[in-house]
Amino acid sequence: MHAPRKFKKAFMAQLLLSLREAGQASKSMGLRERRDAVRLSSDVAMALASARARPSAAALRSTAWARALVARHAAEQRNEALLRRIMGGAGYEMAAAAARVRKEARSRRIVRRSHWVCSGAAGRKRRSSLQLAAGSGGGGGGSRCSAMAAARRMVRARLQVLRSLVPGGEAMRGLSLLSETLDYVVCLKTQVELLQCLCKGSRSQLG
Amino acid sequence: MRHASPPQELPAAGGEIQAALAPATSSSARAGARGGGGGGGGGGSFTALLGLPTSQAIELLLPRTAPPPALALAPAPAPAAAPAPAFPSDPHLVDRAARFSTFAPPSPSSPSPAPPPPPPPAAAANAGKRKADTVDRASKGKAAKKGKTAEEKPAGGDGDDEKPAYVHVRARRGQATDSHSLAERARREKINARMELLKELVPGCSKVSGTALVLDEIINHVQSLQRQVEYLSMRLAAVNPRVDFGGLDSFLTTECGRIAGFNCKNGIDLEQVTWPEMGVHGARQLMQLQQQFWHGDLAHPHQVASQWEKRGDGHPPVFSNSNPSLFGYDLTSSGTQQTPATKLKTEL
Repeated sequence: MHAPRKFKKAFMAQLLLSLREAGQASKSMGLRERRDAVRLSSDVAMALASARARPSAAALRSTAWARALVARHAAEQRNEALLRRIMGGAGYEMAAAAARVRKEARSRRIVRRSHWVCSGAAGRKRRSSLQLAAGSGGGGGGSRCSAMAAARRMVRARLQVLRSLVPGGEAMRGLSLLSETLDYVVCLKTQVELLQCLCKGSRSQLG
Repeated sequence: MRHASPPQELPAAGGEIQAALAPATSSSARAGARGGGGGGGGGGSFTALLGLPTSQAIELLLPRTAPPPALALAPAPAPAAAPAPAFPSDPHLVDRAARFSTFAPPSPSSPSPAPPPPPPPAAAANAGKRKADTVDRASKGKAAKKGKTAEEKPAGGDGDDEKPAYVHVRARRGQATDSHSLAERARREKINARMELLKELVPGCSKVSGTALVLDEIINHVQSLQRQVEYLSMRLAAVNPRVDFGGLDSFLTTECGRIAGFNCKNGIDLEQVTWPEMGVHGARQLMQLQQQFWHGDLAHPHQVASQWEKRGDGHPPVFSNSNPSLFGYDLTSSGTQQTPATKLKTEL
C-alpha cells in the first residue's frame, strides 16, 4: 500500500547522488553541519523523487510540499553551494525564486490577517463559525451548536498545527491540506526507511 | 536505441529494467547487463536505472506521466473534478480508495484509450475499484444508509474534458436540497474520504473517532517521523566520518535493495567504475528531474532527451546551458513559459 517501488528506487538513487555531492563539497565539517547536509540532501532527494515517480502529480506540477521543502532549504544561505551542486545551477535558481515567492506570499498573508483581525472581525469569525457549525450539524438541533462550535475550534487549531508542520502548508486550506499531508506522510515514511537502510548498511560495512 | 515494443508495464520494476537494458547502448548498462543475469539478489537495480540513458528512463516514465484526462481536468474549476487533480499520488491511493463509494475515481485515465495504460496493478485496481464503486453504490443506495450517490459521467474520462464531470447527488431524506448544502455535503464527503485514508495510513488511528482526535494522531505521527529523520541523519553523519558514500554503493544495493523490498532482479555487478559514470548519467537525470519538478511539463522530456542523446557519453555534466527557456515556473518574466503551456494544451 505504501510508496510505490519506483518512488523508492528513484529516491534511493537520488539520495545516493546527493549524498555523494555533499561528501565532495565538505571535506571537514562539524557533526552538525554534516547532519544538516545529510538532511538537506535527503529532503531534496525525496522531493525530486516524488516529482519524478508520481505521474499524476507531475502531470500538473510537482506536489506543493515538495516545492516548498526545497524552497525552504534554498532560503538558507549556507546551503547554497551544496544545493547548487545537487540540483544544478538552473534548478537552484528555480528554488531561490520559489523561496522568494513564498516569503512574499507569507508576509502578505500576515498583513492581511492582521487587518482582518484588527477590523473587528472577531464577531464575524464567531458568527461564521457558528454558521459552519450549524451547517455541519445539519439540522441536528440547536442544542448541539455549541458542541459543534467547540469541535470546529479544536479542528481548526489542529489544522493550524498541521499547516505549520507540513512544508508549504500555510497556503492551503482544508481539502488540499489533507491531500498534501497524505502524500507527505507517505514520503516521510519512505525517507525514514531508506535512511535506516543506509545506516545499517554503512554500519555493517565499516564496523 | 529505443526498445521496439511499446513500454510494457510490468509488475516487477526489475523486469522493466531488463527489458530496457536489452537494447541499451550506454556502455555501463551493457557491461552491467553482461555481468548480470542471475547474480546478487535484489541489489543493483537502481544503479541500473541510473545507468540507463535518459531517453529510456524517460520512456519508462513517460507513459505513466501522461494521463491527459488528469491534465485536462486540471484547469477545470468545478469541485466535482477537484479530487482528480488534487490527489497527489495516484498509484497507492487507487487501491485504498477502492472502498470508498463516494470517492470520485481519481484516475479517469483508466478508460483513456490513447496513452499507454497505467500499470496493470493500478489498472486492475482501477477496474476493481470501479466495480466496487458501483457495487457499493448499489448496496448503499438500497440500504439507504447514505442516501447520496455520486455518479460520474463517463465522459469525464474522455479526451475532451474541458467540462468538468457532473456529480449527481441525491439529497438525504429531510435535508435541504438547495445547491449550497449539496455542495457543502459533497465537500464534506470528500474531506471524510481523505480522513479515512489518513486514518489508515497513520497507525493507531482506527480506534479513534472524531476529526480532532484523528488530527491529533496525525500530527503526532508527522512530528515523530520528522524527528526520526533528524535522528537518522545525525546517525548517518556520525557513522561516516566524511559523508562519503562512494564505496557503499555495491554493498547497499545488495543489502538494502532486499531489505527495503525493492525486489528487482538485477544482477549488475557493481564496480567502482560505474560510479563516476553514474555521475554523468545522474547529472542528466537530475536535469530531467529539475524540469519535471519545477513545472512538470510533459512536452519537454522529449526535446531534452533528444538533446542529450546527441551529446556523447563523455561530456561533463553541463548545467548552465540546458534549456533556460523551459523554466517558467511562477516567473512572470518571460513569455517563454507560455509556449510550453500552450504547446501542452494543443497537444491535448
